[in-house]
Amino acid sequence: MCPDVEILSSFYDDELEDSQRQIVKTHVDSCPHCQKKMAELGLISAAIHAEEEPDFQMAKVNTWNNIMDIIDREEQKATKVNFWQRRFQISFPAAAALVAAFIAVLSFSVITFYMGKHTTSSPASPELNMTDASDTLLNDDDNIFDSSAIEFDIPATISNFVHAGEPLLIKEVDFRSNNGKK
Amino acid sequence: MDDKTKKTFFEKIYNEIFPIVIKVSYHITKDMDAAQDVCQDAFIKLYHRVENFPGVEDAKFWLIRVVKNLSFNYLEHEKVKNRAFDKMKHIPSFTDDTGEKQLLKKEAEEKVNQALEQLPENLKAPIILREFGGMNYKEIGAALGISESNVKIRIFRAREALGKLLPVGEVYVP
Repeated sequence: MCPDVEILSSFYDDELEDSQRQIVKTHVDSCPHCQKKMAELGLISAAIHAEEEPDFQMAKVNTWNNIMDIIDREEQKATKVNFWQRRFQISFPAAAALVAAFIAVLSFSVITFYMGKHTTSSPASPELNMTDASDTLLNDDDNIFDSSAIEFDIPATISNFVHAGEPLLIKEVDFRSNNGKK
Repeated sequence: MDDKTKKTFFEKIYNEIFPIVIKVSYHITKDMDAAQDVCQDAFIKLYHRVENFPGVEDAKFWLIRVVKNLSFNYLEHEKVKNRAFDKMKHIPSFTDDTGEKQLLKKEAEEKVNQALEQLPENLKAPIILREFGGMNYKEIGAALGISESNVKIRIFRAREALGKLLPVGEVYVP
């Protein structure tokens, strides 16, 4: 009995197990029908391979060069880092010096800030009566930074000057000349 | 894996596998430029993950699968693109070559191409890997993700279909 064409196809590809292959080979050698089938399989394969193929060796070289170009370009692109994403290195002594300088500047500014606050708390206007306020400041140590503890005595009126919205000196001169005319 | 080892391993895979995949892709697409593009894309994909493959064999099966898929995708894309020109494409062209042998050869090539074109993808891929990739059933199974017995059946069916599409005796075999 002839083997199935599926088995002949595997036999043609040399894909049968040793024991099976031997049995099929013995049969095919003595069977004209199976020999014809085997010849047909051979013809199909020959027909598939009949086509002239292009130069694959050339394609291998060209494609390799293209691939290398693309990979190189990709790697170059990957190493080019944006300015804000760049890493920079700084040596330890330089970093320590920077930190020390920062602390120095910070402490200097804090000290000057508090000192400035003390000196500016005594207004220089001669019209203001500061005696009470400065006494309070000197006597009461707990309220040294409390601005509500400072009291100002602002006189209700300033003598010799009339408030008329004009420079006071000119106003006084005008007043005198007016008096003279009178 | 450092850069140098990666490139050496990649080159080794390329030298071993390129001759197989270019043939497979060419016989699916029937276009050398397309086949080269497909192989180029597949190898660049491989380069980005080459350290994941323990050996050349694993990379080979992965590459063959990728090349096969990309080639069929290309074919599908081309089919859609050229549907309108299909009739024109099949009008026989007049060539300067009037030799009988050349004519017969051209005709035979055309018939084989048409027959292969008519095969469904699941039969075409195994027969191409077998005939042009020179791979055995086990390797084809590993590349396509199917069992060995399935490969055996598909190759037999592909041959059966080709036998019907290419009446043996009518096709010129040089």
